[in-house]
Amino acid sequence: MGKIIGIDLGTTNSCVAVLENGEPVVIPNAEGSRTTPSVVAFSKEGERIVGQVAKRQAITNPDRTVRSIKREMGSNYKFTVDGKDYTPQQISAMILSKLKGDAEAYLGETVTDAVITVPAYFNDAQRQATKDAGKIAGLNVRRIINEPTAAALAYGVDKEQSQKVMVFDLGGGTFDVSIIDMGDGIQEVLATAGNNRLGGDDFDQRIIDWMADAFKSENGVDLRSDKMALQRLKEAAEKAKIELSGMTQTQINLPFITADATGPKHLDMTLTKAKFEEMTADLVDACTGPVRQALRDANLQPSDLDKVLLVGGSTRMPAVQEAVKKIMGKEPFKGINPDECVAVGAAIQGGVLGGEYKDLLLLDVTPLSLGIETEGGINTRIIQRNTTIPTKQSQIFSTAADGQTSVEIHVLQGEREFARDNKTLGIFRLDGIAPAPRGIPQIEVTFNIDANGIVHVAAKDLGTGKETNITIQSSSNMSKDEIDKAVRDAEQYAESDKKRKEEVENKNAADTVAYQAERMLKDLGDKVDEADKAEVESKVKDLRAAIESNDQDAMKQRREALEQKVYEISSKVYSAAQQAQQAQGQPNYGAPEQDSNSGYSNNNGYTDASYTEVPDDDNR
Amino acid sequence: MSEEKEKEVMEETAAENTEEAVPEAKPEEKSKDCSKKEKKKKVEEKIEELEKEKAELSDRLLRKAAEFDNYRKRTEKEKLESVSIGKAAALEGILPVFDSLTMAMNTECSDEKYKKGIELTVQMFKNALDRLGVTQMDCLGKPFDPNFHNAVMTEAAGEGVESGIVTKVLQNGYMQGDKVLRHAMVAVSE
Repeated sequence: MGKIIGIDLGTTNSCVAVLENGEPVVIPNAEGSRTTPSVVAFSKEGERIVGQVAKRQAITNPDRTVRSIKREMGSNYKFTVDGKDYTPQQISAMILSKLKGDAEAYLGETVTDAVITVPAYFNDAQRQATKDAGKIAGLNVRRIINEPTAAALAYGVDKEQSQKVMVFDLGGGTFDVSIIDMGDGIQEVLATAGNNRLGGDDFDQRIIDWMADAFKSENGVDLRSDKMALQRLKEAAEKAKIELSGMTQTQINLPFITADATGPKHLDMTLTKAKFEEMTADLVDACTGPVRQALRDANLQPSDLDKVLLVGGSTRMPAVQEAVKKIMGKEPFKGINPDECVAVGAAIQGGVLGGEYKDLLLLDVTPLSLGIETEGGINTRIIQRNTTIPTKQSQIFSTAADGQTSVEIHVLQGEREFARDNKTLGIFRLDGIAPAPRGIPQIEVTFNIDANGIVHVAAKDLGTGKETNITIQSSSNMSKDEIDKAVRDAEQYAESDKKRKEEVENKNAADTVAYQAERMLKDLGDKVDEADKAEVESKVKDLRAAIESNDQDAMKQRREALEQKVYEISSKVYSAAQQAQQAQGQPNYGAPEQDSNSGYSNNNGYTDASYTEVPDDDNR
Repeated sequence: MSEEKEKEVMEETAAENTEEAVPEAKPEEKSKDCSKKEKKKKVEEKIEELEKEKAELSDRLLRKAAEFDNYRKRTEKEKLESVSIGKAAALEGILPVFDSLTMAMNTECSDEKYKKGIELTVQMFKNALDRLGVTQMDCLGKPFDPNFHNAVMTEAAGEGVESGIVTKVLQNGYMQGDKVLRHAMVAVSE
């Protein structure tokens, strides 16, 4: 058995969702839309058409196109086409069939089971018809659940303690209010009310009429009788309505809307939010009646309700939200996409039935970044915060001084750039590193967080194979408040931290270049001529002075000048070597790669971060 | 097991082991035999339980692996498509502007130079669309197809015109490659 999909089989539009690793995912249809119009048609050739395509041909084929079949479910209504009768469940099955097919295409697996939603006021016959429709479509309908209940599931209300919830569902063409008593896995519908001929389309129509009336009085032409103009008005009206949910006014600009003997005509109007709310006030009022009716029927006062949930695209309108808030005396919940939350709730129910939550590997994350302290007191992060655990990450570091035989691993937790501003989780040491010039040894530091959140940090000398490690139990002992504060502090100090870090890195880079220049002189010996040697020595001296006095600009300038000189010298040396080799008939290897950040030596991609040496006589 | 049953088993076991049994079988030795058998049974039960659990966990692991694989494949596909989708969204918003410009071009204008300017601008726009892989649909006189056309009105068929033919293109349709970018708004013969 595969996944159980959740289907919101709506009057005007339908939506499908499924749970993936416990998270609801809305499944787009073959055309890429997250909702599918509940429209079915039979082409002239008898071919079945469902969805947006059916809508587009409706006007050419009115007798063979069916809309809003949901209104007929459970009745004896028959739709006749080509001498054949279709019951409402057969028509609904065609919609479900398309949804099933789209879900299979998206998931890449067969879908056999579903949870389908119905209005809370549906009677037995209507529910059975819905179940039958599923069966005809080849779906095993595991459960029929009420739309307001599905919405409550989507909002997670079922996970809380017992409460009374009102679901306010204003869709494209219908309006439903339900009051549900939820608790202990049981949902009881206390009352339902509504108006199944009230929806967002009515709000659009007001704008269309306003525009057309204004145009008519100015130009003497009624745009509503011009099919093309009307289509443009419809689209513009819907767009304007949507914009006014966020802005205080919107411009409706339709050039060349029509033409007559006097030439082309344009429509250019500004609609303010205030005007829009004025012309739709009666529609919003019409919503309050059913709300009061439902409260009366349930014998409850607004204060008896714990939550109000908003469902349906039209609840996005601020005027609607305010009206709800006014009657109910509380802020309604609107976090989840109102067009999709019913399908999401159905998917959650499907997930519960399918054991998805039992299988659910609840994954934790590490709340703050983990890292180690590197040269200059910098916090070098190895595992970013909010990384899902278990997880494992490694990075290679090196030594800071020549002949360093031991490194100290200072394990840090936090988001600040400098070690001292973060929390120390632990400190340990790796000894026995073979003496070598700085930057040569390879120390691999590995952070391993297991499923329980316990942090294991290991340091391994890739040269000797020697390894030490530490296990930290207390890394997740910070409270949520402490974690939030740590993140906030990091954001607050980000600028100053960044600046200081840049200064430290600048200093480190200067130091490295000075060191490498000296090494180059030592290694190349007399291959470098006296003048060049003297220049390098003098530049190194100047650079070291700048480091001493912590002069940032001087450090940068002198480092770059020294690097230039170093490149110059090494180029000379290599081309001299090349000529010598060519004279001997050896293959020409060309100039070596230069790593701009570290001057002469090849860093092999290591982070230029190193440890401070821990003196042997230190009592740690 | 009840005490009586235990006793029965003990006696049976004792009877079975008569030949090899020490003539005076002490009670402790008898109970040692039984508890050995009990232990063995417990171990066998535990093994069965663990094997069942292992099978369940293996199944869950495979399912999760499969789910992840499907998710990965789908995400790869979506990534590839996201550029197209982004382009389509941007173009959708711009096409109405092109519509207006074209309408301007088709309007009577006595200023020849001005009209020429509009024509050239329309051409610029067409070239830009071209470079983005957008092509205009050719629907006039063709059979109506709801996959490409959006019928907003019907009208009487003219002379020699069958029903179900696109008689007017009210707003041009566009394709982006082989996908519909915008459906053509058309009038269809009755």
